[in-house]
Amino acid sequence: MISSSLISITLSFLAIAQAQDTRNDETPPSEDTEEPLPLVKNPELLEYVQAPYPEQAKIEEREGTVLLLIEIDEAGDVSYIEVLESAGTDFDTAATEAAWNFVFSPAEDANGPTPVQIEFSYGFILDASTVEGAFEDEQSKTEIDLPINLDGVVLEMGTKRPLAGFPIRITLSDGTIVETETDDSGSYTAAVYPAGVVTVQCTYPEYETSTREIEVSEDQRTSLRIWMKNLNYREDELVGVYRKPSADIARRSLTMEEVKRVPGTFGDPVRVIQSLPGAARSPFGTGVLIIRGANPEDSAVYVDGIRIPQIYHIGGLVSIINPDLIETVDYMPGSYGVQYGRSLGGVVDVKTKQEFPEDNQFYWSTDIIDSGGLIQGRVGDWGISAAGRRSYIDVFIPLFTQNANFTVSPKWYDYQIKAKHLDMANGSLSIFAFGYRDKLTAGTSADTAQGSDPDFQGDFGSVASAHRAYLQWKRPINDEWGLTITPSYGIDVTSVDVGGGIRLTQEQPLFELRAETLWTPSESFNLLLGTDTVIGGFDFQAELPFSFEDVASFDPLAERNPVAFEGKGYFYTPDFYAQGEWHPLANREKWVIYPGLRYGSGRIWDINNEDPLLNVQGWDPRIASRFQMADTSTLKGGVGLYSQWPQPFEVWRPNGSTELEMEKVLSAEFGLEQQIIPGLNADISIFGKKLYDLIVDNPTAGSADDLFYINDGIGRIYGMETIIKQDPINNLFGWLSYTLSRSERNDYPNQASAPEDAVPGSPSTGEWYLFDLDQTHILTGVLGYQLPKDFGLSGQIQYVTGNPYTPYSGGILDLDQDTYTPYSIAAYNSERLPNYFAINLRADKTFTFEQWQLDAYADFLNVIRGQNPEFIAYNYDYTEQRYIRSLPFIPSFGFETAFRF
Amino acid sequence: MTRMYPILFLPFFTGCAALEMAQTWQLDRLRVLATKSLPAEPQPGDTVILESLTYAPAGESVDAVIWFGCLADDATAFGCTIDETILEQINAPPTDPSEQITWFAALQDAGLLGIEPAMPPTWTIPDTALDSLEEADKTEGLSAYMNLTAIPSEVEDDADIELLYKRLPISLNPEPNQNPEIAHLLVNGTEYAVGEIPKIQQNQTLNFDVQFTDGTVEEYTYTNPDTGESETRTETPYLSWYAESGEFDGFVSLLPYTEVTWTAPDYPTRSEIIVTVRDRRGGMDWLRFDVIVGDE
Repeated sequence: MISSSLISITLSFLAIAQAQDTRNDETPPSEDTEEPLPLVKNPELLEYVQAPYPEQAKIEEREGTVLLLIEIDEAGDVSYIEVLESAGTDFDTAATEAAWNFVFSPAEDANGPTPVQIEFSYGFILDASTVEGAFEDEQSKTEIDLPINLDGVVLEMGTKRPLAGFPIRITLSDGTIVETETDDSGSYTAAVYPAGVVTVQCTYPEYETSTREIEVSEDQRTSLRIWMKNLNYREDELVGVYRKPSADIARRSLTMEEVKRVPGTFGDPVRVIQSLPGAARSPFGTGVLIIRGANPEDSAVYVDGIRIPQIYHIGGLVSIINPDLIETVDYMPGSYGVQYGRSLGGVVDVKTKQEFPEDNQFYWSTDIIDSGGLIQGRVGDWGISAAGRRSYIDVFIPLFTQNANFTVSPKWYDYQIKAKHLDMANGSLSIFAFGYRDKLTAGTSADTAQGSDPDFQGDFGSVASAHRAYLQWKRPINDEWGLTITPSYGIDVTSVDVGGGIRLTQEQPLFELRAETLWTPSESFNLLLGTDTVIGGFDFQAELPFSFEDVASFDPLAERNPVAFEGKGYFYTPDFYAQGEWHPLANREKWVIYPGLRYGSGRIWDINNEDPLLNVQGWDPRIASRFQMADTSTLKGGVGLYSQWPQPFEVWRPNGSTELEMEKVLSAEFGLEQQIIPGLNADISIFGKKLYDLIVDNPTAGSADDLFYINDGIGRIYGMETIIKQDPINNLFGWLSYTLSRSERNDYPNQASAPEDAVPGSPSTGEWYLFDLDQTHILTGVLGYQLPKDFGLSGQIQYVTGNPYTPYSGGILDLDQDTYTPYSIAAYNSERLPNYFAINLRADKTFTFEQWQLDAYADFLNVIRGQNPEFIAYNYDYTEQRYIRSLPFIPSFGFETAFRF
Repeated sequence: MTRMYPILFLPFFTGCAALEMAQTWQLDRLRVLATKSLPAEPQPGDTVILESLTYAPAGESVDAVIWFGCLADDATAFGCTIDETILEQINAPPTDPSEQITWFAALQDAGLLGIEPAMPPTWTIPDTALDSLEEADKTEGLSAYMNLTAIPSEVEDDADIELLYKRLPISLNPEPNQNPEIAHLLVNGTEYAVGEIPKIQQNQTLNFDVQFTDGTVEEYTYTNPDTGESETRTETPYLSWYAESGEFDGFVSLLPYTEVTWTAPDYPTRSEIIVTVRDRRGGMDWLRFDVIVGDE
C-alpha cells in the first residue's frame, strides 16, 4: 500500500525576528509584539518526512489536509508546531509528528538567520492502490522488470517552478493504473506497459488537476511536460505594512506585493506613502511628499541608504525606481534614528531586492504613462538585475490640450543595474548603479507672444538627472563586531532655460561613504558607530537678463543689465553618528532604549571666494524608547534634534560667506501600539515639532553684496496620527489612517514692526501664518479583497481638509507691465479651500499561461466624480475667481507581463 | 518660509479655469487701458500734459478719472500713498468760493494732478526730482509715480472702481524718450484710414496689425552707470489688443509678430476694438476703431 502525503508551504511567513529564546516542545509560540524585520530569504524545506497514513482513515477512506503553524529557529530546526486547521485527530497527529522531523534552511533578514513562523499544509489523499488493494506488488514488478518509456517534468504554470513530490497517475489502455511521483527537480519517470494511448493525470491540493492523453510506444521513450496551474498565485504575497523594531520608532515598512494593489498608485509602492499617517495629500494626485507639515524639500529620500535628489519623476506620478526591483519602502514621518540626517521632515528609504531567482525572469509593464522592463537571473555566482523605463505621456498630453495655445512635453527615463555575489564565504558584496533623467519642455508656436517681455519669448525647458553607483560590502568580523561599508559615486545635472532669458546649468559630482560597524558586547546592549560623509563639487553657470540690482530696485521702465556668472567649488560633510540599543531588563524585549548622537558638519567653498560659502556644524542628540506594557500593548516615545542644510540655491553668493546656519527642528513623539484583536492592530502617536533658524529671504537685500537669505524663520507643528490595520486574513487586508495636525510659520518673529509696504497679514509682516499645505484632518481608508482565480478588488477613500489660501479682494493695475497686482484685506492663508473627498477603486487580475503571466489592472480615480478644489484661479483683475479642481474621474489601465526562461 | 514646487498639470487646470472667466482682452467693464504723457520723459521743471484712455461699456460712462502724482521716495509697491482724508475732500468740495482755493491748494499739495474730464491733469516736475541721484545716474534718471482712480457713473461696490498706477521716467537724458506713434491700422494686410470701418460676417476672422510712424520706434544710447560703457539699443514695443466681442487668439503681440487674429462673434454687432502700444520706456499710444459684424 502506498500513502501519499502532500505538502505545500503556503501563505505568509510570519516573521518573529530577533526572538532569542530557544523553545522546546511545550513552549508556546512567541507572543512578542516586537515587530519583524523584512525577510531577505525565505526558509526552504531541505528534509521532508512523509507521515504514515492513519490506518483508521485508510479503512474509512478518509482524506484531509492539516494546516500547521511551524516555527523554525535560526538553525532551520522546527521549534514549535501548532495545528491551525484540523483534519481530524489522527491526521493532525500524523502530520505533526512528521513535521517535527522536517529540516529547513533558516530564514534570513538583514541581520542574518532569524526565527520565523510559516503555515504549512500537510495533505493526506488515498491513492488507487489503497482502495483497490493489491496494486503494490504489480507496480513493483513493473518497475523492476520493464524499461522506462515515459518521462517528463511537472512545472508550475506561469512561474516555471519545478514541482517536487507531485503524484502522477497514468491510466493505461487496458485500465491498469501506474503511479509515480516527481523528484526534487520536478521530474518523473514511468514504465508504461502495454504501450498505446494513455491518460496522464496530476492532482495536487491548491492546483488545478492536469489531465493529458499521449501515445507511448514500447521501444522509444516518450516525454511529457505537465503544467500545473496554481489556484491562487497571490497567496505567496507577503504582508504589507508592518513595523520594524529599531530606533526609528515611527518607521513603517511597505513591501511591494500588497501595497502595489492600492488604488491610485499606478502600481508604484512609493505612492502608497500618501495613504499612511503623517503624509498629507498632495495636489492633483502627484506624489509630492508633505510629511508632518514639512516642506516637500525638507523630507529626504534614499535608495538603499544613498540619498538622491528626488524620488519621483517630474510630475510626481511614478518613482524613479522600477517597482519590480523594490523590496520594501521604509517610511519614517519622524523620530528616526541618527543614521539619517540633514533633513527636517520625514525620511523615505527605498530598499531594492536582495534576492535573485534561480531561473531567469523578465518583466514588462505598460500603462498610459510609461513602459519598462526588468530582467533578472544568475550568472555564475552572481545574481543580476537590470531594469529600464521610458515615458511616453508626452504623446497623450496634446489630446487634452487641443484648445490650449501651448504645449507641454515631459519625458523621462530611468535605469537600474544590480549585481550581488551569492556565494561569499563570509559576508556579502553588492553593486548597484541607477539613475534617471527628466526633461520638460513647454512653449507656444514661434509666432505667438509669450507674454509681453521680449527676454522671455522662447520655450521653457528643464532637465534634471542623477546617477549613482555604489558598492556594498558586509562582513562579520567576529561574534561581537560586524562591518558594513557602502562607498558610492554619483553625479547630478540640472539645467533650466526660461524663454531664453534665464539659463541655469549645474553639475554636481558626489562621493559618499556610509560605513557602519556594529558592536554587540552583550545581549543587552549593542552600539552602532557610523559615518555618513559626502564629498562633492559644484560647477554652475547662470545667465540672467537683469542684474541683482535690477531685481532689488525693480522698475519695468529701467534699462536691464544682463549678467552672466558662474560658480565653481567643492564641499564636504563628514557626519558621524553613534546609535545604542540598550535592554535594561532581564526580559530584554520588555524595554528598549535607543540613545543616539549625530555630529553634523559641512563646508562649501567657491574657488573664487576666499571665505567659505557655508561653514556649519552641530550636534543632534536623539533618544527613543519602547516599553512593552503587556503582550498586546507597547508604549513608545522619542525626542530629538534634527538639522538641515540650506537648499542648493541658498548657499551661493558672489562675494563672501552666506553666513547661514543649519535649519533646526526639535521633535518629540509619544505613542501606543495596541493589538485590538489578533490581526487587528492600532498605532497612535502624538507629536510636536519646534522649528527654528529657518532660512527666509533677507528683506533688506538690495545688491549683490547683501545677504540674500537669513536664518530668521521659526515654525511649530503639532498633531496626532493613528493607523488601524487589518492584517491579510481570509484574503482581506486594509487600514484606516487618520492624522490631525497644524503647521505654522513665522518668517520674521524678531521684526519690531512690519515694513511700510508690507501687505497686511503677509509673511513679511512678521506674524504667524498657516503653512501653505497645512491639512487639519487627513483620513484615508484602504480595503482590499483577493477573490478566487487571482482576481483582486480594492478601494481607497480619502477625506482631507482643504489647503489654506489667501483671499484677494481685487487688483491694482500696473499700467507699465499691463498686469494687475492682487491685494487682500484678509491675512495670509486665512481661508481654506473646501474639503477634499474622493473614492478610488482598483480591479486587477493575474492571467497565467504556461511560461508567462499577465497582471492587468484598472485604476479608477475619483469614481464619485468629486469636484475637489486644489487652487483658486482669478481673472485678470482679480474680480472673479474659479476653483481649479483636482483630477476628474480618470480610468487608468496597465498591465505587466512576467516571463521565466 | 515659503517655497514653491513644480506641478506638471497646473497649467492645464489653470488654463481651463481662466477660460471660464472674463479675459483681459474683453471690453465688458470700466477700464483704463493707457495713459500718455507729453513729453514722455520730462526733466525736472518740465510741465507734463497727461491723458488717459478709458473704456466704458454702452450705457455706462466714466464719471471721473482722478490723477495723483508723487516721486519715488513717497511711493510704495502700489504707487503713491494717498491720504484717505484727501480722497474724502475731493468728494466734498466747499461751497464757499473763497474756501475752494484753499481746498484745491491742499489737494495739489497732496499730489493731485487733475480730474478728467473736468480738470485735465498736468504735472510740473519738481526741480528737486533728481536730487537723490548721483550726477552720473541722472542721465538714466528715475521713475516717478502717477496713481489713477477711475470712477464709473454708478458704483455698486469697490470692484467697479478701477485703480492703477503708472511710472513716469524723469531724467536729464539729452535724447529723451518719445511716445511711440501708430501710423495706421492694417486689416488682412490692407491699410485702413482713420474712420474707415472694416466689415465682416459672423464667425469670420480678421488679421489685425499696425504700422508705426517712422522714427517713433527709437534707437537710443544706453550708458551703464556702473561701468560707464555705452551701447545702442532699439525699443521693442508690444501691443495689447482689446475687443467688445469676438475673440482674439492672443491679446499681446510684439515684434516681429505683431499681427493678431480676431474671430467675429456669431451674432451681428458693431464691435469696438482697441490696440495700445508700450515702448517699455514709459511711452504709450493707442488706436481705437469699430468693426461691423454681419448686417449690423
